[in-house]
Amino acid sequence: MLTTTVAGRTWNFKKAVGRNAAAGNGFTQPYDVALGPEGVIYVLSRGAEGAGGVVAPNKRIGKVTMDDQFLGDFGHSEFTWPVALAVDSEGNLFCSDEHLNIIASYNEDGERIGEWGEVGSDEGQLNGPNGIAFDADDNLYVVDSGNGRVQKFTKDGSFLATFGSAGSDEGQFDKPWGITVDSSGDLFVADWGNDRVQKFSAGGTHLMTFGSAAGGELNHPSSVAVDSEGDVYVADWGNKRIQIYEPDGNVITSLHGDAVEFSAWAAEVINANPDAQKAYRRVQDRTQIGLLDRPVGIAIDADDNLIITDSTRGRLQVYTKEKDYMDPQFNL
Amino acid sequence: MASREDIALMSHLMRRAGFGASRDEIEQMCEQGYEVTVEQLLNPTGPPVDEYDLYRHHPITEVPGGAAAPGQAAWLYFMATTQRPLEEKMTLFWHHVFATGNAKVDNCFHIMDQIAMFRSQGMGSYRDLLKGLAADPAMIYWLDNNENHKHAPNENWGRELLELFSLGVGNYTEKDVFECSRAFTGWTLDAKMPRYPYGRFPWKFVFRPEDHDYSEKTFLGQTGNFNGEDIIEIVLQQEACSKFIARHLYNFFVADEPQVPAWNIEEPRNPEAVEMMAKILVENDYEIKPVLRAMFNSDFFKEALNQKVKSPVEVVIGTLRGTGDLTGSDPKLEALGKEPGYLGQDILDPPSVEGWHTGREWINSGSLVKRVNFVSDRVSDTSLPGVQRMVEHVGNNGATMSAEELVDRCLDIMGPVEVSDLTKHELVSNVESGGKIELGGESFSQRTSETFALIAATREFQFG
Repeated sequence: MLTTTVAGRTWNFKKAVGRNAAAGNGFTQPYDVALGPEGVIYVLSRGAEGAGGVVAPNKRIGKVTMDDQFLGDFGHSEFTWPVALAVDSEGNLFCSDEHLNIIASYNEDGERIGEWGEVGSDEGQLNGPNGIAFDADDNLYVVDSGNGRVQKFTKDGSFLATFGSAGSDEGQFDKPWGITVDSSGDLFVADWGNDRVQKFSAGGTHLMTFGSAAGGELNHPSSVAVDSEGDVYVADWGNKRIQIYEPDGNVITSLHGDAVEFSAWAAEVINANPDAQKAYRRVQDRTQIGLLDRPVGIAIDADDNLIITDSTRGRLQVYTKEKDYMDPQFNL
Repeated sequence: MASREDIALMSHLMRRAGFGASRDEIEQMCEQGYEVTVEQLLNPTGPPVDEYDLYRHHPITEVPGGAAAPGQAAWLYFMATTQRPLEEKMTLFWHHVFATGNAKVDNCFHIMDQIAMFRSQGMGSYRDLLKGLAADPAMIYWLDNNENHKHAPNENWGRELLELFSLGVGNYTEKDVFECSRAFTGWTLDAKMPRYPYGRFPWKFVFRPEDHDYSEKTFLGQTGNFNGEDIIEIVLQQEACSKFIARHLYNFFVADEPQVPAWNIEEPRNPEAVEMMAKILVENDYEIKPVLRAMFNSDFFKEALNQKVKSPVEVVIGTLRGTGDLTGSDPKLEALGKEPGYLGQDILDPPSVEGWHTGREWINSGSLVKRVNFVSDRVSDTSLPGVQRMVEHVGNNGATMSAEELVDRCLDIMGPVEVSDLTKHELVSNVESGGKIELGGESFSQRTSETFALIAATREFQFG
């Protein structure tokens, strides 16, 4: 489905992956997505404390592919409040836990190979680590949300640098959430409580700001990603959409979700449930089922596929970017 | 410095119009005065609870479905962290009156939407609340109005509207129930998106004119082609309606009444108070705030200290707020959300449309142990900031202290709680058994917090 057109590019809805499930081939409140080697997509299920206790088994990391293969999952009962994922140059996966104040690491087989993090507010200490992102040198930027700053570590956890403080001025943060590093090494931080995204140099110099609460342009953004052409994608969590910006900060368009057709795993469930099939026949307008509901994480693959975690709906929504797009004449 | 009587009265107000307050807050309120505090409760200026922070850290609480637990956790978060306590207490009041349960609705987020309506309109117009409920998806499904058809009326909503939501038994006939139900035919729900495979989607209220009975009805002595809104207007004209709501307010905020089904055979314990409140309701076109103001400032309210058995919600929330055991998002939130249920009050899931039986019926051998343990576990935990402050208050005057003085101060900070001589003797004996009291230090904290825990187990502490 062609969703949106603007001068020079458009975004086509590609597919949905997954379904809402506490185990197996589905996700429970997927909060982040990261790209592993050989087409593997890691999906972090935030889960719920609920019946399973604080470290419930529904908190997990799933391994899936774009063509709907479920390769298993790992990390069950190892997290309290997992938030974000990042993959290093060797294919190892890192995961932050904002309650345990740790960064855990796993190899490609899902075996835990490390964990670091010390709670506190001194340099190198963490208070609610959220978004994480590697730079080209395999150093890890960590959004230290409770301390209102970004810290840079080696991937083994040695402290390298810090910038930012709690507040609402330029270069300050209010409960920041996601982070990404673009191909130039610049950083983008989703400044959740300040309803904006801030761009910094690798050294932490403030470069520019995307969006604000004014006019509802952004409402508590949770994450950010940048494509190969520099367009910036913001998970506008409060407004339940993706805001797309040109590199200079102008809004291009919004994606609200288009997953009207069932994903492959969702179809398995419905095809096995005649009553559910009948119940769907009662519904006159299926638009609602396709909408994003609390999008949280975004990843962009080498083909500029945009992979969004649609957290309340327990699935991924995937869009492709069509470059050099020419719109037909208006009155065709 | 506020007098002991002023402290007791202000604590009483805050227990009833909220979920209690710390001694520091009580003293500050005493300084500004009782009536000023009442006005602040009625017109809160504190920020609303930050829902986004809740949903970010506990995403499951935003759209819970079949299980009530995530919704219970969400509401507990509101009650434990609100800076607008009367607003939240009125939300609880209306949930008692318009009891709607997830055991049937099976879409907990819809009951949370109803709760949100009580929160935003709970001190506003009772008329608006009734009209809002008549179109509320959770209520429609709970009382089967989606099964109420032009040619096959279902009386469930019509009956409960009259019996439990507005007039009370004895103030209408079976014919009135039927006619009322006919007036609400066609008030129904649109087909919703099924729950599989992406979770819960909302119902929408729809009015289907083709399924509405447009013929003439005779209801409570009036005849016309009534729709549901007309029915509500006629209900509000009945003297029984204002008295019914006034008695509910008295029962919830002032002193325990018999259970609602007995109201047509047992007089109110204070008929003059109920009459006065009913009159104010009518004079103010069923706006709730004026009657609350009059009630909190009345002598009968001020004289009603310890006339009510604390509800499980009041026990749990009062303890969490007093001890500082829950001040924001926390992994234990979802477990805490179940605690009122363990004590006998499953919020968002009342036992029936009649709501809970209150007063002494809150207490049985099982629930008593649970409530004592819940409070004792926390007031004896000296790592909690609220407990530390309570211990400071107990020990902040003088260099030495007798066992009796320690007990008196603990009783004061825990309520104040008035206990029998026998209870006091037991408490003092326990303190004395620990030897001389050394002020300050870990030993003092421990002995003081142990005394808090024992007080929580007294008969008198169960009243508030």
